[in-house]
Amino acid sequence: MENLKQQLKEQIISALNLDDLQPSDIQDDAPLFGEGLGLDSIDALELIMLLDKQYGIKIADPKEGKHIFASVSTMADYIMAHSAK
Amino acid sequence: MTRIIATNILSPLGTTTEENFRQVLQMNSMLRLQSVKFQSVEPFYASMFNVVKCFDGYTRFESLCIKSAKDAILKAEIDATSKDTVFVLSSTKGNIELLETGEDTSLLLSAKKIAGYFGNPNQPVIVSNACVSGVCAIITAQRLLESGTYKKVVVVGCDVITRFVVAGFQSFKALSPIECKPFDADRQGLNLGEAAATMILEQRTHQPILADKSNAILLGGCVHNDANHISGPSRTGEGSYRCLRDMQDLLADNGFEKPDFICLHGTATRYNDDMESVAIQRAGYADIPVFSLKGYYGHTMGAAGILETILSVEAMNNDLMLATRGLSNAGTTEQLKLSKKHFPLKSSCFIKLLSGFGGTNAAIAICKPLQK
Amino acid sequence: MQTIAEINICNEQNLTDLYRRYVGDYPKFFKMDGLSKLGFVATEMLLKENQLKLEENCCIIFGGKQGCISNDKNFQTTIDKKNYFPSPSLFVYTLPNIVTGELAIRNKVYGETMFYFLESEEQLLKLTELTISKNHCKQALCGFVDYISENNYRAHLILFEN
Repeated sequence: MENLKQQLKEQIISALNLDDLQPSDIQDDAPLFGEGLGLDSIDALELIMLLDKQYGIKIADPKEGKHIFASVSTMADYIMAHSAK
Repeated sequence: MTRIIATNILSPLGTTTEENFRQVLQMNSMLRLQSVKFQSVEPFYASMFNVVKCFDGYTRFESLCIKSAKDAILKAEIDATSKDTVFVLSSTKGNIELLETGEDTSLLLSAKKIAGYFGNPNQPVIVSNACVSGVCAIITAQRLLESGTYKKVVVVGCDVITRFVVAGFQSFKALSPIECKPFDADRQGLNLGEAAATMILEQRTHQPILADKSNAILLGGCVHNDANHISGPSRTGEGSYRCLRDMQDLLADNGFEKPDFICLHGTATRYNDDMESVAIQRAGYADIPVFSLKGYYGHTMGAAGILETILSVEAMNNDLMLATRGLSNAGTTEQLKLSKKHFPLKSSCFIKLLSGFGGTNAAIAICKPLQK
Repeated sequence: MQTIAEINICNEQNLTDLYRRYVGDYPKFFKMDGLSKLGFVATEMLLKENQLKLEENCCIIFGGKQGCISNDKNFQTTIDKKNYFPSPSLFVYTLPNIVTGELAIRNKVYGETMFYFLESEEQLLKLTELTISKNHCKQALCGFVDYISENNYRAHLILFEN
């Protein structure tokens, strides 16, 4: 689980071009959107693509993303429960 | 005074403005499920040409532009080879599908080929301002005419549906899995559409003696940015509101109290339609009849501003208010005056409004010829 | 129409270095495509070096020969038939006018934003002049920009006042 979270942080930084951040700057339970990392609607769509590309998980309804992408922890939980790879 | 002297719409519904307007009056559409169109792309609803017979040495995109321009040029009886005539092309992605084979996708090259087909000697102007390109091309044309740079402008707008564009919109989760439902409470996104549309404009210092039925006067236009987000529409409708406010002033300057109707963008995405309803409310236009044409054609991208303006001119000249096809139960942030059926409406002027990626919004105001 | 300030940038200058030197606190920069990065950095330098601000109704009129071709190619790689994962954040930059939107957001400008494909800078200047006189706007930022690749880009920006 810890490995997955670390890997996710690296993937998020790379996919969303958060060049000024290090994985250690992202707390497991800190909100990704809103006051957190300041991500926006395009980032949310890019995270949907990240789940598909890296973990084979398809999210049809972008509204679902809101809960899944709350934090790195919630993303990791979702991947553990749904991963196809 | 800038006059619209001839128009053409080339779409899956017809090859002339008249034919397209008739189809709209009959509430027809060519929006269909496209299931095996492009490799790895999910099925999508769109209005597409079945077969396009291309001119030798011209792409599908360029051939559509030429066919549309040809009809309008013939109707307008203008000399396309004159140095006083210029082509203004509106497109978002032109020949983008050529990227797959590594060929040149340049819009500059395409525009030169199109103007060259008609023997036009001038460097064409290409507007690529996202979904508002068509209206921006008309605005640019008027500036070129008013400044005396040219006497006639052929404004052509076109986009074709490609793997590139469909994949992009699908990644944005913006495409509707059903026929689009503009301004409806249950709208699920937009449909794409293919079309080419042409509008020929000229500058006149005096009123025309004979007012051709299809003619109209372009009073002016404006462009405003939301300064908010590159893809999401502003929740306050800032740019669209500022456009409407400018057009309000322009209409007043020309002796019109208010527009008789407004042709909105109405893409049927949740955010766009809500945004437009807010902008309309803020401009004090809640009681003005409005409609969207996306339910007939889908979103025709670079052609949209021109195609939708032409059909609005036809509606005005026929004293008709058009129905919003696809609408069953209206549901937007602010209430709009929409209609599910066409109905008679004495009209003398209207506003065409558009908005698009990059936070850009544009509007033009048009009136009947022999009015004040 | 009077020239207030002017700037030239080309691929001899690294855009990320310029960003770190002149801006540094706008992480959205890293999300932009090459064309937007180029227009963004050039505008920031132009304004900072001349201690200027863009007005609320400034017109941002940009043009070039190639538009967002570099980013078009980047998006195309994400829709490869065998490796199909279209990227929404690349797709949004496949419109050349996005650079003008980025500038409007950064500078809180609600004026006209426009992108033209043009052969020559002269044509763009002419169109900018027509825009200024028609809109009665006090200020216009005119930019001839081309970003073909990481090693081949150039921008010439001029700020005009009426």
